[in-house]
Amino acid sequence: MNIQSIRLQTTSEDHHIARMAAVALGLTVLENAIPSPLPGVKPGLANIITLIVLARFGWRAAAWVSLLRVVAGSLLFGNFLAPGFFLSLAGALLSLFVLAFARHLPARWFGPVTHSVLAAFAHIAGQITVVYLWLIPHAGIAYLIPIFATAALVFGTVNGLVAARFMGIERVFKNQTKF
Amino acid sequence: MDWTPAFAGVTDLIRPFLNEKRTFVKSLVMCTLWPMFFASQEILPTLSCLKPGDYLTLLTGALCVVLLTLKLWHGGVADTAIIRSGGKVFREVPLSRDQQIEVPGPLGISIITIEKLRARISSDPSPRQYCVRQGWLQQAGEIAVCLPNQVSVELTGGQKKYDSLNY
Repeated sequence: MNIQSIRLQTTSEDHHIARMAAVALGLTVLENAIPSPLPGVKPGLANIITLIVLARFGWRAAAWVSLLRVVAGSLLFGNFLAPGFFLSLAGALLSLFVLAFARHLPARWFGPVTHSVLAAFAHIAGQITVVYLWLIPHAGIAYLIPIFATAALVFGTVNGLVAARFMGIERVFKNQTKF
Repeated sequence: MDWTPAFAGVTDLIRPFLNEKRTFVKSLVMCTLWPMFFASQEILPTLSCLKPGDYLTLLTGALCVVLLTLKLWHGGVADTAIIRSGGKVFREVPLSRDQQIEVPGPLGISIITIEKLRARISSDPSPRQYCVRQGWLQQAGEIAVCLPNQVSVELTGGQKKYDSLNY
C-alpha cells in the first residue's frame, strides 16, 4: 500500500503572492491591536502591501494579495462569513475595482498616494453600501459618512506616502526634477 | 526620608553636561538641529513622493470631505412643529408665529410654547418632567416627548434629519 501525497505545482509568482499576503496579514494583526474610537475606522496598513504589489507586479497579483488577506485575516480573527468579513470583502472588492482604473492614470502625474486615497474612498463606499443594504437599512448611517471619509483621506494619504517611500519613488522623482 | 542617594546616580550622569559649558552648548545645538536634520532626511523626501496629480487628488478629496460634512451634518433649519397626542398628530404649527398651545393628554394638559422660531414644552403634568427640562428645541429633527402624558413635539424643516443612530 503506497501513500500518495498531493503536490500542487506552484510557480515563483505564487510564492511571491503568498509571501506578500503573509506580510499583509501581519500588518492586519498589528493594526487590530491599535484601539479605534469607532468600529470601522482603521488605518488599513495592509493596503500598503496591496499598493506596492500593484505597482510592481500588476493588478492581478494585487487582487490575489488583497483577497487572500481578507479571507485569511477573517480566519485568523474568527469572523469568516460574519458581517465583518463581508464588510472588508466589499471594501476590498470595490477598492480593487477602482484601482484597476486608477493604475492607468499617467504615472508621471499620479503616484501611489492617488491610488491609495482613491482606494480608501472606494473602500468606505463599499462598506457603507453593504451596511446600508444589509445590516442597517436606515438613512441614519449617512451621519457617519463624514467621519469615515475623513479617516479615508488621512489614512489613504499616510498609506500612500509609506508605500511610495518603500518603492523609492522619491529618488526617481528628484532625478526627474533635477535634469 | 532621604532621597539624595536615589538621585545621586542621575546627577552624576548629567553633571558633565552641566559643568562643562561646551558640552552643554553642543547638546543644546544638537537638540535644535536634530529635528531639522530629521525633516530634511525623512519628511522632505516623503513629501517629494507626491506628484502634481497627487496634490490634485488630495485637494479634491479634502473638498469632497468638507462638502459631505457640510451637507450631512448641517442641522436643517426648522420651520414647523408637529405636536402629537396619543400617537396622533394633534396640530402642525409654523414656528414663525409666537404662541402657546394647550394639548390635552391622559394626565392633563401640556402647554407648548413657540417663541423666536423655537419650541418647548413649558408645562406638563408628567411626574419626572423630562420633556420640560429638555428646554428649547431649535433644529429640525429635535423632539421632546412626554411619555406619561403621551404628548410630543417634533421640529421639521426642509430636509429630514435623523433622531437616533445605532451601529
